[in-house]
Amino acid sequence: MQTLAEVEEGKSVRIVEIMGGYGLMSRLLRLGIIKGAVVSVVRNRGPVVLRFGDSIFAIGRGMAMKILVEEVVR
Amino acid sequence: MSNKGELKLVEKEYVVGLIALPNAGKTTLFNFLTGSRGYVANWPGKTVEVYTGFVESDGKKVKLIDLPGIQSLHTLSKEEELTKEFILGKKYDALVLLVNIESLYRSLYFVLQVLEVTNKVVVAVSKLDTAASRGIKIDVAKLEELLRVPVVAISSLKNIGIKELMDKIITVAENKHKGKGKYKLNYEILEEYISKLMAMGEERGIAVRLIEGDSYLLDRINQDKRIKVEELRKEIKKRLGMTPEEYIARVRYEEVERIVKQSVTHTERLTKGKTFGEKFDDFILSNWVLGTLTLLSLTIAGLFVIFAINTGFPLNWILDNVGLSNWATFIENYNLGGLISLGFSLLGNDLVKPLMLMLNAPAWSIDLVINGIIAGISAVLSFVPLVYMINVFMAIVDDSGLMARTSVIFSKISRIAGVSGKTIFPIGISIGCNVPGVLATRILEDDKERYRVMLALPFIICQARLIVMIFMLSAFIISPLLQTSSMLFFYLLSFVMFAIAARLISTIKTYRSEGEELAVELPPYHSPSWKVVNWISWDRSKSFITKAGTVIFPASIVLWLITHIGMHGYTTIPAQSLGYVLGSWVIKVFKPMGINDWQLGLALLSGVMAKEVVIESLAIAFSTDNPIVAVRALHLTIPQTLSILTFIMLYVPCIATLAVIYSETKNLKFVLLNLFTEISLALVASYVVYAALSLLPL
Repeated sequence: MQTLAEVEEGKSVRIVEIMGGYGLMSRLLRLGIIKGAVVSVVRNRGPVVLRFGDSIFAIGRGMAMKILVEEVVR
Repeated sequence: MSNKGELKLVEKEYVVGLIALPNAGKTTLFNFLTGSRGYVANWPGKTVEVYTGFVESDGKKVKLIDLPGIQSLHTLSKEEELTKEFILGKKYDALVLLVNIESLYRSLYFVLQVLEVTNKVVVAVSKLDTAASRGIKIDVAKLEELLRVPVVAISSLKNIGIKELMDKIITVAENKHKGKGKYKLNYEILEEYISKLMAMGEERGIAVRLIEGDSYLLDRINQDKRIKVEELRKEIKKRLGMTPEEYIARVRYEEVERIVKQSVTHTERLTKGKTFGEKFDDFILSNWVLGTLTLLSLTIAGLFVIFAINTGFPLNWILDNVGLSNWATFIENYNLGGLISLGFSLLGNDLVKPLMLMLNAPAWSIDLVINGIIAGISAVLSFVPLVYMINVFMAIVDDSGLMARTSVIFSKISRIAGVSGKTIFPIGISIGCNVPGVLATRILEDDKERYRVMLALPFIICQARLIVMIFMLSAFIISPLLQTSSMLFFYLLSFVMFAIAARLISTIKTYRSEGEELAVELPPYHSPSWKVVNWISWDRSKSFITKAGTVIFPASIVLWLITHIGMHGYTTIPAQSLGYVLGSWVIKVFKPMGINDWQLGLALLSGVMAKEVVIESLAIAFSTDNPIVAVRALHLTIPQTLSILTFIMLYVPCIATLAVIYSETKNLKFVLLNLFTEISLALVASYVVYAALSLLPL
């Protein structure tokens, strides 16, 4: 298990846990990033850039460190 | 659509709400459908502006309401809340949900949320061609089958699918759509709880939202039901080991995935390799320093041009410093704002004044008309071109997709003040002028963050304050080194005060928001449509005239009265006016620094109107035409100069800024809080500066 901030660029991961309050949860929920969602990390320097579905998102590193993920083997 | 303007007997007017996620092209569609003959008005009981327009299709009249863009039914701003209220209120014949194919997952999630509440829906899918070039193809018929409401592929710019969309809207409005019943999502374990609430008389859609903990709905049901809902929510959490909203979101996303799998095919991208946009993203996002510099220079360049055209600043300053002072003077006099003021001053002095003299009008009435009324109108109108151009700039940045990138890049710095990266725009604009800066806070999605920024923004030193700064520094400080370092100090101070104020206000619970950290979507780049940009900008400028203008204008009359009315009625001598009394009273605050001139007190008071007036008012108070003579008449020491300047840089920017803060929030308490914060922080800072400098051997 690792946090989203530690994922190598190009890898796909499944979100296992979001360790944050309601505020953080609802911000992520608005973007569709919820437990169980599979996202791929496009860029991981500074803000973490993610691809989820057809969209690209950027989230802060602090936020990414609060998201636990597991690697998805394709 | 037939828009021939023939008078026909219209059987019924259908009310249709147009709803979309950001960047879906909603404005373009609305504009196209209504032929930009929409009108804008505040929504009843709200401070949110909503456009309404009329479309006629086959003799049937549709009243189309362009609701504010919404991200999700988990609302953050009053705009989003209005759209949600509209959806839940069900006072419409149909809803058009414009789906952005570039963020299909979230769009469909939103569609599902709405379909739970109502099936009077037509889904319009836009931007199919851009998606096709990225290898994404959508099966519209399949989607229609899965969602059980009409789905239409449209392109407003190419006039594709518009007639079909109108037909489908009418079909839905007349309840003639033949779908396979109402869309229903199975929430498995939650179904028994949903049934419980439905047994208490709630509709299914509302029951689901209540279990989700929708605070808007929870506030509007009776006490007993609310307690029941809270009980159920606790029970669910215990049973599932996660909150009901998480569970519901998961079920919906799984459904979205199923729908996408069945209706979307991914093929080879038409464009091989990375697009320009993707390469640009790689460049700015991979190196923070490069990214910051690139976006900062783009922003500065844009704002530089706009301010140079409208106010001359900062081009005049640059020209002056490279020795082209003739050019600098030319630009100072012949910028748009300057020309408008010149026009009004000519109108007043060369037309109205002689006319009134001819009619034997009393002196006070001539003075009031010229220096009160005409000057007031001029003050409002000289802002209009600037507000318009800033709106164009912001619309382009937003529509092109650059805004989201800026938010990412600048979040690293803006986090110091606890605000998002987009705040760079209101701040950058405020360095030119606080008024359009406040208007630019509209880009912030979270209302609480918007209030925080609006409270802190007046600390950003605008051009008018820079003029006062340069004047006073050159009057009392001889050393160019000390002059320059003082200027730098004041700008630095203004940013620090911005951060302090933004942080201070978040100690008040009403203005605190969690998760101020970055979380944004990066939409693909677009070239903005000029038609749409112009339409939005012009409309916002018109609303500035009516809303802010109605506050700025009377305020300028009040200020005229203060400086021209005294114990013995109308007077042209400031020492006999009400201003003398008020000025002597205001300056008492600066007694600890040894400053006692009522003239300065009056100037500070006039400075509430506009900072340009500070110097002018000193000249009038000391009865001289030469402003430098007036400023020097104060005989200030260096610590006194820098301390009073600190105050001038930080206290109330101008009445126009307060007016737009009021017209944007319609919250008098907040405006007063603003006033209080500005004045108290300005005082504290000026005392500190004085105390610190008095210890130095200057």
